[in-house]
Amino acid sequence: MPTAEAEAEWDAFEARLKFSTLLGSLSASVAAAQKAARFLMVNKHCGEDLFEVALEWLEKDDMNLRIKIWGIWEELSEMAMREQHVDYINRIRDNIQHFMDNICPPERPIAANIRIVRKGVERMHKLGLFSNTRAKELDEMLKHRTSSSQNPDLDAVEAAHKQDPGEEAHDMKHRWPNAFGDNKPSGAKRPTDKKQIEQRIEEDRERHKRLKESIWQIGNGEHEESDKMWEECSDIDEGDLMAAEDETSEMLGISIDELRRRFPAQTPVAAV
Amino acid sequence: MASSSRANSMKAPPKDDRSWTDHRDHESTSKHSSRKSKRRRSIEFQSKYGSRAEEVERVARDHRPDLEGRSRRRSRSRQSRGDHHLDSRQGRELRRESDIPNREGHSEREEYLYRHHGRPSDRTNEPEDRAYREYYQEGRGYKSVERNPYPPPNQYDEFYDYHHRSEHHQNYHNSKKDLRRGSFNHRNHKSEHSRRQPSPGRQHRHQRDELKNSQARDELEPSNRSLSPDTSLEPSAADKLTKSSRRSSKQKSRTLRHLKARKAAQDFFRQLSTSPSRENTEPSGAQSPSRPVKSADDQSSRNSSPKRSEPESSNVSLHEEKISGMNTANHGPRRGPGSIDTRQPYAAHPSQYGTPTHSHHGSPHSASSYGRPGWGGSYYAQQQHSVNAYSPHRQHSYPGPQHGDQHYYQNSHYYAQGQQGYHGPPYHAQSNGHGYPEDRRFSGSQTSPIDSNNAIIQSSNNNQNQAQVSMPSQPGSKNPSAAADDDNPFRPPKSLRAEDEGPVSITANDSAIEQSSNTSTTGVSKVSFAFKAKHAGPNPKPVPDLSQKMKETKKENIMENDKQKAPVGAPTAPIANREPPREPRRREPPHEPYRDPYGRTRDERYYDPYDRDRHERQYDERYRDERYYNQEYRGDPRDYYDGPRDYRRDAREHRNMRPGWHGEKPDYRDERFDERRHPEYDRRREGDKAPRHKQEHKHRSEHKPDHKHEVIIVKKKMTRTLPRPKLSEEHTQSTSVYFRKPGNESVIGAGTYGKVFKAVHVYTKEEVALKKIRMEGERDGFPVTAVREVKLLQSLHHPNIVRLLEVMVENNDCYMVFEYASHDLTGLLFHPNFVLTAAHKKHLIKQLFEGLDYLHRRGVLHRDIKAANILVSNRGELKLADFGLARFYKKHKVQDYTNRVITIWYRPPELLLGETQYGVAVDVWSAACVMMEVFTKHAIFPGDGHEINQLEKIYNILGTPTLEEWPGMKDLAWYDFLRPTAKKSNVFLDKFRERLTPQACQLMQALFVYDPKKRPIAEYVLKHPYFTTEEPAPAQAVELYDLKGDWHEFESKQLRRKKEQRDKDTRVRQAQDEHKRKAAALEPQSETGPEVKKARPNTKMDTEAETAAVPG
Repeated sequence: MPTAEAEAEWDAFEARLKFSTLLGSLSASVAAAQKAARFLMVNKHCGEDLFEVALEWLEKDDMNLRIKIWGIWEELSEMAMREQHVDYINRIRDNIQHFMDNICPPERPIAANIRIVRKGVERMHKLGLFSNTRAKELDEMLKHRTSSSQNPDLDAVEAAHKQDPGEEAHDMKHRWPNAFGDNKPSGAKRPTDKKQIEQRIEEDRERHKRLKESIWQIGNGEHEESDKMWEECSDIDEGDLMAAEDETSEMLGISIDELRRRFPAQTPVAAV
Repeated sequence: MASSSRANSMKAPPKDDRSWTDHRDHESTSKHSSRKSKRRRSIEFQSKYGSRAEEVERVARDHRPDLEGRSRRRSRSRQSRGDHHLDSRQGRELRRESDIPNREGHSEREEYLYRHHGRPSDRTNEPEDRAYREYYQEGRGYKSVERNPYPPPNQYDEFYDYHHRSEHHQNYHNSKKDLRRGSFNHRNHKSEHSRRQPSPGRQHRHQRDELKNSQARDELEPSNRSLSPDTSLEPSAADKLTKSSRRSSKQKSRTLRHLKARKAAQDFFRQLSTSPSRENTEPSGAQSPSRPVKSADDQSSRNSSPKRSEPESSNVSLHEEKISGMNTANHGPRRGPGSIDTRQPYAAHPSQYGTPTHSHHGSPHSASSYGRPGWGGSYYAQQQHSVNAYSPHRQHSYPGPQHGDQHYYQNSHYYAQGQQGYHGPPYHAQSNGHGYPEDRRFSGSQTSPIDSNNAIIQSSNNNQNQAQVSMPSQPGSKNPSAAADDDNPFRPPKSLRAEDEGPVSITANDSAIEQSSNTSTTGVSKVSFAFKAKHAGPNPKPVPDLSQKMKETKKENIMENDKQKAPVGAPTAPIANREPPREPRRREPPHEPYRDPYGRTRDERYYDPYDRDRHERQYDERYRDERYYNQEYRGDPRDYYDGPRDYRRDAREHRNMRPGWHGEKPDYRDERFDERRHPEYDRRREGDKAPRHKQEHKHRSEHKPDHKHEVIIVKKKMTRTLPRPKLSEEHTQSTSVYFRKPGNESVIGAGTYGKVFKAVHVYTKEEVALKKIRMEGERDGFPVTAVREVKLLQSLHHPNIVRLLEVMVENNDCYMVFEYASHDLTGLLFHPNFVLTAAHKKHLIKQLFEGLDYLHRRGVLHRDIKAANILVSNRGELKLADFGLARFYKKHKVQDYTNRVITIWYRPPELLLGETQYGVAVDVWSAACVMMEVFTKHAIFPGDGHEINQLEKIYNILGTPTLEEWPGMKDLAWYDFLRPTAKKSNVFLDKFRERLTPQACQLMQALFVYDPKKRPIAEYVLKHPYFTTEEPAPAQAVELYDLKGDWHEFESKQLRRKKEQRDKDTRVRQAQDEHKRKAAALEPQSETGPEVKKARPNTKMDTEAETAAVPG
């Protein structure tokens, strides 16, 4: 969808269609999520319809899509909070549980997803979307799911494997954690799973870029930058000394061994 | 007292301290200066010459309007040729720029012509031109950004004319070297001369007649004269001086003392003048121990007896000393005690010093700081005399004698400034106190008057052990140093300096005179010992001391002989002006012109037309005037060494300046540093010196019959042009300095980054690999990955890391120029007719981990280690290459990095499972994969390119990881999707036991550990018994040297492709045969079938098999 379309206001029906297309072609990048969120904001006159569409898509059996839609909620909540659009804010508040259940189904928790959702919830909480208690409550819920997901079923697999060694291939197919959909039998889903996993991996990398963006972010605090620098600056270490040695030897045109011999006191590089 | 102070000085920081810091300072200075060349240049001029410099510039430009234009044009044309070569090291690049001949070809040629064929008198414009050129030579060295010292080969002829004449060559080189050495002195010196010696035009004319080579000077002079007499900075300094109350209070008494001392000094100098060489001898000897020791006795006696109570003794046999030169051994001790002594008197007789408390000079600390030229010295100096705010470099750079006296201090200060680290104390300190065999660097500076003066001072101190009388500076004297000092990046602001400088105006000679006051009884009002100006000239070359000595001898003789003759044409600072921009090693003391005992300035003495010996002297003076053009000079092997060295040291050629990590000898062609102290050079030079030595003797004997006579045959040296190197036909045709065969013939690699070509430097014949940075599809301009790679490689220097020679832009393409390696590991493993032995393999693997260890210590993750990225030179040196994915990582902080790194076959499980906070362990895993490949020739985990399959591959061999062995696994992002679903056991041993030695097996198993935290780092890997104890010991694959042809993955791939095609054909044929046979005779099976199958690359088979086995 061209940007112009995403930015323009549409009537309810058209907006619904456009939004569907938008979600269908959603990528994992931040830009895509922002675009969708902006579309929602621009067409807030039919916000209810669009929200419905989003919820519908969330129901679809595609975990990758769900996570991407979760990205839209994150962006949307930020935009809505900025513009104090009460309607969306309330909708997100009301539906947060629903989102979470969709993305991190309690019966098949996926640690990676839970991590994403927890991060998102934290972000929304920082925006002021949730009260402290609510945020804590949601976090607890997610934490619980996380811990439950940490029991690897490998032992079970092993047990099954021992019971029926001949069934290994079959067993493996069955036991492969079916993270991408709940309705169909897992065996049938394997090929798609593989693709989805790869897609997920790529999308995670895409999302990871956003995470890296924040590495460089510095707050407005007066000393924040220097503090950050101070914190990140390590003590002088072997590598620094080596670099110094290296440069010195180059400057002097002597070998490093020679340098060490001549300047024993100055080269406190730990003996290898 | 004496002993204690001696002990003190002995305790002074180890030489290492000094030289370490000084080198650093010095280097940084030079870098600094070269980087900021433009800005600095202007500043220099302004500060040095004051407004005059600007005017001169303007005048020159007016006269020669086309000069600039021409140069501009030229540089433009260069640009259009797209021949810019960016040196990979920026600092070096800029330095090299100054190496690059900075004259325009045209004027160059002209110069050459008239230098060798006489100057055409009709060229009226020339004078200005030359004056301008020479005046700004230095500046232009910086200014003209010509990066490619070589022309494209197709313009080689033209190039050759200018560059392969050795005279020019050396001229460039010397001047350039001077540039590098911190160029202020010379210019300052010159300007000084011109300033204080506004010689009449008649003299100029005369001089012109006398010396063709000094024309530039002459031309320059008028322009100088036409300008307002400068002293631009002097007023301010004087101002400051008056303002400084402390100082002024002491001024008077000091003045008196000064005058007295002066008389005494003059007297002393008189005495000395009978044996003129003495002054030179001492300093130069002290500084360049390399000179042949002729009269070791004399020297040793002097050295051994720090207190020479007899002034005569110092005068005695000066020539011999001079000639003999001193060896370091003698000097080392001498200097030390000398400094002590000087300090001691001060302490002992503080009253003698007029102003002991006077600002900085009076303090004993400052004195001690001199005694310890190293850190301590500067430190003290700063502490004590914060007013001065001297940069430590300057301060401690004065190694010489300590003078409690202000003037000495000033003098030394001045000296230090002039030195700016290059000629500075570190060297002195080393050569003197620490017995470095020799410091050739000094050769130039030895001639410098300051040095000699200091030495004299020192010696006098030694002799009399008395305090020097401090004298106030001559009020009228200008203090060019103030102006010149602005060059010094470390120079404190003028406001801080002023105090020192105001009074400083005493020349080094003055101070020397003062020093000698004790010995002297009678004095001429002005005695000048002109040993400096000439040396102050740009005399960077190693030999000058000797030449200087000769000159001195002559001079003195002349003085004696022609006492009453009227000074003829005293063009100001003849030599200094000759090559104005060249930097003198030492700054000449900023003060009045020196007068010899007969009241003549040095220059006057030089140009005495009645001097019968003139011609000979001229001969001698080649070091001043013609040394760069004189063939003789060229003939001197030492000079040879210097001249061509610089030439070679150009951006095109990449010597390994960097010594090997394990002590390989670096390429010592860069003369700037210690190499001269190297015993080898020492030895060599001594041999070289013989002839010069003889010459000296001859001169001496001519003029000083009372000395030993030696019959000498002076060899006349012929000018002979070197045989002109021939370029091969294809090289001549090459448009680039790096010639590569046309078409795809030169391609040795290709990848997403672009292509890699093999090329050869047409002039040096050095083989290089050109990595063409692909710019297509780069929306954001120059790819940041390439920038990252360049940056990383520039900071990495290790024998096992590929060396980036330079970055070159040519025809709108950017190339990274690497050292060439004939093989890469993949290619080598599949080499058709070379099989690595176990020892070779071990050595390669060892090198791999050594390189890795280095990277990791330096905080670099390679992130793309694979066999194809590992190069092997034809000497069996392994080099890690392709740093396109490498990055610095934070050793002490967990940080997120992208996990889409490392070719997937070599990617460790943690990355495959989505880890973003990884560290060096990822490289270790990759290296382990490479190691396996070395043993088995095939990748151990050849997946299908997707994470899932890759993990399966790993699980299949190493078994599935358990949470016990890898607890962190469950926290990985994709653990839920990619975790093992069925338990598999480790079959590594079963699979590879036969192919690996036991220790190798053990090492491999240690490396292939799932948990990255448990994976050993490269450093520990190298300590594994596999490398240390197990037989066979690693052996370098030097046999590769005899191997013809190159073998990279590229070639081996091609070969494999061919082979596969062939196999396929055979298979098809065999299948057909079989079919026929079956059809015909029902034969059971063809024998060749399975064999053919085996011949297929294992990797492919495995891949197919495993892919098929993947569930789903």
